[in-house]
Amino acid sequence: MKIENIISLILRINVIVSIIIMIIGYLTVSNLLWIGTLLLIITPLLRTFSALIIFLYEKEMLFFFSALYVLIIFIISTLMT
Amino acid sequence: MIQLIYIFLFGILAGSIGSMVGIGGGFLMILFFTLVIKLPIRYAVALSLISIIASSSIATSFYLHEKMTNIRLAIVLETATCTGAILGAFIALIIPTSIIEGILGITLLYAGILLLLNPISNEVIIKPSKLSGEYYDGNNLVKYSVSRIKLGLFASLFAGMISGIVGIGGGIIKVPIMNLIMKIPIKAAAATSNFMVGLTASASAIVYFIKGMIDFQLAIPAALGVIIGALIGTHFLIYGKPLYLRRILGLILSLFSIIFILKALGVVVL
Repeated sequence: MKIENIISLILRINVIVSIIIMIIGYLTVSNLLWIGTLLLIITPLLRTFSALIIFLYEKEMLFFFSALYVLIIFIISTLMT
Repeated sequence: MIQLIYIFLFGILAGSIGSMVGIGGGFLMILFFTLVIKLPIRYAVALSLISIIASSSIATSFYLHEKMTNIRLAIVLETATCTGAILGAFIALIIPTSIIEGILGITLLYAGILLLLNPISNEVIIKPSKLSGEYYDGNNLVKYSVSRIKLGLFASLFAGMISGIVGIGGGIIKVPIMNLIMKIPIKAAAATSNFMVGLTASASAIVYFIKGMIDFQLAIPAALGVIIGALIGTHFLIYGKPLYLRRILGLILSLFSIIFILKALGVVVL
């Protein structure tokens, strides 16, 4: 399976699962509501992380380090805020 | 209940526009949440970020499948954008936001007019590289390479700076950079921008989540609305004519440019 198809599948599954969890959380008035929302929020992070792993696996080091840099900046800026 | 329906319906509209031209659609959502739903601005921004994430994730999953998203280019440009966002935090201390908004407004107006007046794409194949891409537009195989990479990276750095200061996701700057400067076909530019805006939105959304500024109950109709909107928008991008997409983007950029110029002049406060 190509890199595009793997990330496409991960994204689709993650968004659908997040929304289902959010709706269950809303109907049952439980913590699942915010858990689903958090899962949705981290979806883009997941796609960059997936790209990072795949670039490493395919030994495309320029893109691996670029993705790593983006993720590090992402984490640092979140922690600083 | 009627409020939830309004949010859902507007989500469909914002999600389809945002995913179709790769701009995220957050700014539209903020306008709606503050002016129609009367939410405080911070809650409106938080919900718009959730919407961008949902819309861009679904749209990206389709564009990846169609090979329209250039992941390598997105990651490389994102290094410049996120560096710019950090620099922007420092620049915001020195330069007033109104000046930045004015610069953004004029730049968007220029890009908007270029797209409207030159609707015929002038994409050219220069030399293949790791950043080159190809996708099917209908039955035609479109091959493209990325030109002026250094200029594109430099512009992305500025885009990151400006988005950080003005508080936008940056899709409205990223698509013109890719299409007008780097000569990437409009479909690939919009699809690649969709990949990028989600990450920027995610970084901000986490902060709002930690600070407890997300209205989870309103997030559901917003997310559902933009997901349906994204399904519609992606259909238009995948099957639409590049000429129309460039015109729609040109029109949106021109409208946004007016808002930012008015904001810079203090006429519109948001």
